[in-house]
Amino acid sequence: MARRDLSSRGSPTRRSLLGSLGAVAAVGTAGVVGLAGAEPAPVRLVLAVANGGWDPTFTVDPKPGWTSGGPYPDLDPRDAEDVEEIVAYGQIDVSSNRVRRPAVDRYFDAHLARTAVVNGLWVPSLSHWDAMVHVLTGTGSYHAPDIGVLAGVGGASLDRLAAIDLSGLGRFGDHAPRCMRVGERDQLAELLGPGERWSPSGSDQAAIDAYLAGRALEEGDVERLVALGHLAALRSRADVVAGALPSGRRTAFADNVPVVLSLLAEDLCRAVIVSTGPSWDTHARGSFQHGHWDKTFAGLHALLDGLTAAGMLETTLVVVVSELGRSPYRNRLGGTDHWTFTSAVLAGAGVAGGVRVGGTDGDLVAIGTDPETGRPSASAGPITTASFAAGVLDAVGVDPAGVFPGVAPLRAFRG
Amino acid sequence: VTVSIAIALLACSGGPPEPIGPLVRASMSVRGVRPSLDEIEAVRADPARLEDIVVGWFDDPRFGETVRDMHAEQMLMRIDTRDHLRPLGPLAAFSEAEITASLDEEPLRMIERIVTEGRPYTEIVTGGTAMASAITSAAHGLSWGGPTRGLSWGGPTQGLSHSSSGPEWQESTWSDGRPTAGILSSTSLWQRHMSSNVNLHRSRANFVLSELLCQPFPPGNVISRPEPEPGQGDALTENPGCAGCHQTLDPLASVFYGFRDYVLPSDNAQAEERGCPPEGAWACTPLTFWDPELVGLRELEGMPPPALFGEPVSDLADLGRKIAARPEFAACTARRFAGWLGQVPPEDVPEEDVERLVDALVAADWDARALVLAVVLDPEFSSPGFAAREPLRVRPEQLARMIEDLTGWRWTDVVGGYGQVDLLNTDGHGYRMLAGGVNGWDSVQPVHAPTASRELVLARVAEQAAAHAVDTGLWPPGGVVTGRREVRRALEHLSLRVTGREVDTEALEALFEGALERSGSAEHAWKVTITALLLDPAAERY
Repeated sequence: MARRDLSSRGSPTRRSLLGSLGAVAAVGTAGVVGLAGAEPAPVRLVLAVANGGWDPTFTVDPKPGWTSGGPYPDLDPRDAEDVEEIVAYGQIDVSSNRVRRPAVDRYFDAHLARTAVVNGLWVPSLSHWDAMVHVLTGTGSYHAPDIGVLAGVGGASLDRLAAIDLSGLGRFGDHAPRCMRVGERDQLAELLGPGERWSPSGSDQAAIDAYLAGRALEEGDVERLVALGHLAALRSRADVVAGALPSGRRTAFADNVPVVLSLLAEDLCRAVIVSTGPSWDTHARGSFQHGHWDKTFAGLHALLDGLTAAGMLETTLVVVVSELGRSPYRNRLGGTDHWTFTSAVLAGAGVAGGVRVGGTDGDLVAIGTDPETGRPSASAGPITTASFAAGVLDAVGVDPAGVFPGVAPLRAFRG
Repeated sequence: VTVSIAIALLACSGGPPEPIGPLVRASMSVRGVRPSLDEIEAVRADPARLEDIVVGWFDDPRFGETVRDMHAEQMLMRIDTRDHLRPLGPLAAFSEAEITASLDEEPLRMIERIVTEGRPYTEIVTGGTAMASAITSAAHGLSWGGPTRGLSWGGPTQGLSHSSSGPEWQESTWSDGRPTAGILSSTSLWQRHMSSNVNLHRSRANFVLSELLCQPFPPGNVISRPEPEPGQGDALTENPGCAGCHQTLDPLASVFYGFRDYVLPSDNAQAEERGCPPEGAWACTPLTFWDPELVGLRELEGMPPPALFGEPVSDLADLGRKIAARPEFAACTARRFAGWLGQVPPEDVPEEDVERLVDALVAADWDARALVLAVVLDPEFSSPGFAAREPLRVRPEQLARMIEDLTGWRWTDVVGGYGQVDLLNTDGHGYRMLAGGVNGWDSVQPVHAPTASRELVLARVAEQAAAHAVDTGLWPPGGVVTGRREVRRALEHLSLRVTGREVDTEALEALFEGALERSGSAEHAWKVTITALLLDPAAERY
């Protein structure tokens, strides 16, 4: 077999891991958690994913008067309250319907000062999976880490998990040893619990850990050593983790909010990837978008409230994205198909309240946008996923240049 | 000091200090189990024996499991987190767990049969048969001749060509008139890769392009300003940004007219509960998934005549033949096998390797076992540098087989109201994704690296397997010994069996002695020691 260049994949991670390994080895795997490494990125990240492709014309990118797409064909003419109106929240025009999507207005009424919107975000694919890769990673590579993971890694620090993925959608790339999933029904919490099976005593476990750390070093298995260290840390805080993960299947964004808040408050990780709930892929029934938007903004509202109450809003950036928008062409089933331009909602740390960045024209095609100022620019193209991802990293204090060389980070949503 | 030196050496060398044996890597790759002591001894005595040993493994049922694992991961077929048909009507005798597992496996069993029998791999798209179990028989209408376990209808047992005492999975045929083209005729495959009234089978066309021909959508397909105005005209043909893809995709999608878009479990449940009235009979089991009348919808829905890369296609069987004849199919097959075995994406397999592997495949009349052999016997396969991720990490499905082979223990559970589940092969109730696998739906890329959640799964597996091995008297060999010499001898034996290497057992001996001193129980000390051994880096990798 031909050999391949490994430098583009494993080496950077390996080097970064090796940088802190000496102290790790000296104290065994459990020592990883107590390691005083480089300072993590100052800002935490919550990456909320609206899986399936949302239709921003229902809320943050309104197209009044459309009859082919958007929410308007679904209005009930017999209900005087069932009306769509455009409400301006700062620079953000919001399509408002206080019958079908009351949570949207409630959210902006409460948290406009910490919320910005990006419209006309160009995702260069119409396939869910490819588009998800683009929007989460800012690249077209299935093997790249997502922005939650990159934000969580935040430098060379090994002292905590970079990211916990509650959604199953997270992409770890080369940072897998510093990331963790929890399972469809929080199986992680089950596994951490004592159970009725035989298990080693605490002293035995420490001896096993020491044996494995020594053997991982002998084998040069740095990734394993790091993952073992994080497991030791989890074990030492099993009660906390179990408390944060109420075993069971969570299907709504709001159900995940307390979990997200617990994970961050307990400092179990620097980034959380979470789903906003059921699939948005409303090919057949566009009207389902009403409920999805309502529940998503209700969840976002609860999250912002919780972060505020916990004193974490100033140090946590919340990013809500969907891999696709939805076409302006209403199909024969009353739904809409995939569209290559979508939107994002950003809230919390460093966000300029009431700012709208980018935009789309009447055909839902992105307007060229200067990533620094957010103003329309004839010479600039649409906002790319790379620019968006770089902007998010920049906002949480991670230098994006190493991951996205030559890409102008989208900074226009920053305060 | 020793640790610091080790780190310094590691930082300088940039790689593991010693290679992992070709025998271990081949055995784990082909079967998902560690080589036996006899096999280790044979290769030690004569390294040239390796090829004969590997060829012998092709008759091992675990090679068939490996083939299914590979195709399940690549074709995203194991989706137990999604709803499946419920135990209603003809399926009432089965548990949800059984139904889910059986329906997902249908096309995988076909591929397994073709590969393990050495039939041309092209049969996966040209074969005239399918694989049936009692469940797929009842659900999809395939003939089947095994025990019926309370089947209350006559469908699947009519006109059988098999004995009633046959194996669980049997080769069978579709009897509803659908063209036969291997897995392309599979109801399970197209239930997984479903279509809709607006998708118009494009998802299925995309499956063929990406999974069988390694020709995914062109990346970066740009939608420029829609022309004509929104709500008018057809952007898919009139907008250059759209047409680029759809000119390839749509004619291929047209081949799949005749298949239903999908039958949701809720459709089936409603139909069964209503007693299968004529207007809803299509959703009753066995599902009417192929309906010749649906073929005519193509023109009504404005789709182009069926074609593959511009070459007209008469029907599904013709498509299968044309796919098999494409050079992309051979190259894609080589990429998929080499990529999966080496834990790298298919597109990362170097072109020169692909060419050589295609030559080996074609020279063997498309016997995919030759392809596997060519990969695992390649000297580079067992050296750092073959895989982007070096070394290879045990997949969850392999872990299940490896542990069962070593200790006799398999991690299963009975979930109330659902049935018995294989916990390392499922996600809804199990731990496959936590251990690095995929759930086939929203998690579609395996993680070939240690993570905290994977370590936790490994630890729980090791503990329970160790306890089982000691409690059943399987390990340590010779009984629960405590004497220093006996302990060392037992550990040398176990280390060789678990890791495939002769390792210095000093650290394990110390672990045993410490556990014995703390607990006063030899059984407990052995469980602790064997747990550590099963978690050893040399056991977790290959």
